[in-house]
Amino acid sequence: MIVARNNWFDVLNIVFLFVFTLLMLFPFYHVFALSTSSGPGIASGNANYIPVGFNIHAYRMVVENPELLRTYYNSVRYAVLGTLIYLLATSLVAYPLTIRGFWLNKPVTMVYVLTMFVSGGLIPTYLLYRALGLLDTIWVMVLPGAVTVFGVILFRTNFRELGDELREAAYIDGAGDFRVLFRIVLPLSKPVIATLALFRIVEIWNDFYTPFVFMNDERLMPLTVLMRRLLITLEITDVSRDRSLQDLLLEVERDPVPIQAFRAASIIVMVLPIMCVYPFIQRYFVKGMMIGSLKQ
Amino acid sequence: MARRKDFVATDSPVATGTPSRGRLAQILHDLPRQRSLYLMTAIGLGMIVLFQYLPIYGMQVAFKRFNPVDGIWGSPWIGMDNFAAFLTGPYAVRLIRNTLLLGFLSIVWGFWPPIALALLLNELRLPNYKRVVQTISYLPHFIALVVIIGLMKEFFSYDGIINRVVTSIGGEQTNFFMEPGWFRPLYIGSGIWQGVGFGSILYLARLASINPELYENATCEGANRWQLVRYITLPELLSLMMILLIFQTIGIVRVGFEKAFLMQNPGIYETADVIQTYVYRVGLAGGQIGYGSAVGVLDSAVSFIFAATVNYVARRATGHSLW
Repeated sequence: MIVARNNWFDVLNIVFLFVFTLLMLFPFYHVFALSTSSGPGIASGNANYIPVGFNIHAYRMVVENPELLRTYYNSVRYAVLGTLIYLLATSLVAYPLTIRGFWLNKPVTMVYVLTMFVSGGLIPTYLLYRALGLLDTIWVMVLPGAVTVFGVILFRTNFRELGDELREAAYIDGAGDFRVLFRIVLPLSKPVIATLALFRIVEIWNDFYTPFVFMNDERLMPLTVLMRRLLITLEITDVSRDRSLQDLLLEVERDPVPIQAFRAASIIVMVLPIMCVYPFIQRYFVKGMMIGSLKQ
Repeated sequence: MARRKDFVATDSPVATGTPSRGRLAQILHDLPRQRSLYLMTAIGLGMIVLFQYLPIYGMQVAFKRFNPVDGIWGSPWIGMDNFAAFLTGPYAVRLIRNTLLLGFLSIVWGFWPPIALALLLNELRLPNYKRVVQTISYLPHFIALVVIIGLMKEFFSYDGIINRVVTSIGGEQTNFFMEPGWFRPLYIGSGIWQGVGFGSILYLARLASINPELYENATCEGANRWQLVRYITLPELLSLMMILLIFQTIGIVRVGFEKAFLMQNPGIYETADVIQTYVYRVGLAGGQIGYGSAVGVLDSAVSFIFAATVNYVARRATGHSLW
């Protein structure tokens, strides 16, 4: 395009996108300010924009909550196991689809794609999981989503780009398809693996629906279920009834932690891992999304 | 060795579909050395059939009087009774209206912001700035819905920041999460905030693939920037827009549970209760399995009709459609 000097539109555009960026970030900043403010600071209304009476009691309280540690551990466990199974299953499914002339390719692709348009719904799914004995197990978090159409398409597109020559050379050396997949194709697919891993980690880490509907056992609950209780259903009046929370909120030797600060700190603790991982992986997923979009 | 050479020969593109041999014979001939491929396919098909298709088969419970002892297969058929019970009941109209309206309004308000953002980013001539804006704009997509709703509750609580701003400019405090009238604006607005950046990725990818010669030629003909957007960029984006529009209409009725459930309370069911949350509350938590499934089946049917309609309209109006 011919380079012109910035005109009023460019200036407006730059300013608009700057405001837009602030709008994206402000909620997180606001919550951070609340989480590090004192009770009187929050009550005054000044803590909305900058921490007032800076302290980190709320974080100590969040971290000392035994429930948080347990649910955190569960979330990490589910995300790690679920991602490994996902990458394994999805790559196994995608690999045969890259072999030209394998007669099952078309019908199998149809079977996968159809699932995007119809689904059985909550209750048949629940009855199925119950019949399979998946309810109240770690497997309900990691197995049902282990093969996704999106992942299969992404892997397939990427595997195809590697070309047939490598594979055929490996055949001549006597390698079977499993060896080709694990020794040659997957090591050459790191960007796609990173993209899909990110999506799956985030998906499981953020999943509230599955544990809420298909689990009852408190000991198996992930962080999202605890977060719902702390952030959404917990009212100030409940605190007076909840002994453990009361003890936490009003520890004698400390300033009482305001419930807003406690909630805000919980949000930060929940979001932190994703915020930390995100900048490093985000360039991969943009690339990955583009590979996927080429198929459409 | 000979066997492997044979593989290379028959598997190369030239040799596929050799007319001299029958298709079945070819398949049988390839069978022994494609064992691993069959095994891999079986794993994937098994998972898909188990977790996607069996529930579809299980939808038949909607036509049965379910009792736990006999299970899905053993319970007696009762025809359309479950459907009739729902459709003649007091909540059918409200639930269908809420679900469709929420889906429809989400598309009306949420469909164009990613396109606008992509166009604005595309016009930006500062590559580093563009990358920073993009990166930050994707971020909310990766935040859990539970946290998003938690954030909203913080922002829109009675003494939260929004109410402080409203009162400081002379407005009245509102209890946003208790007002039926605020459910849809909050639901849709937060959806846009969370999804606008991520939604722009595909458009940006498509924009990057437009042939730059088109722009160069048009600029030589004297087109200005607005005309470039109007006559080159937008037409190039049209097919992607239509495909995404159809995908969204399919997705909306289906994934409605989590967010609506987290945002609702009995006081605002009037606008906030949607089919998915009703199915959970009455069907699963309330134990009315057959009845709940019937409502779920209706939901699937409605979402399919919704998508088919959009597909049809898109094809008639623009010539681009998914099927």
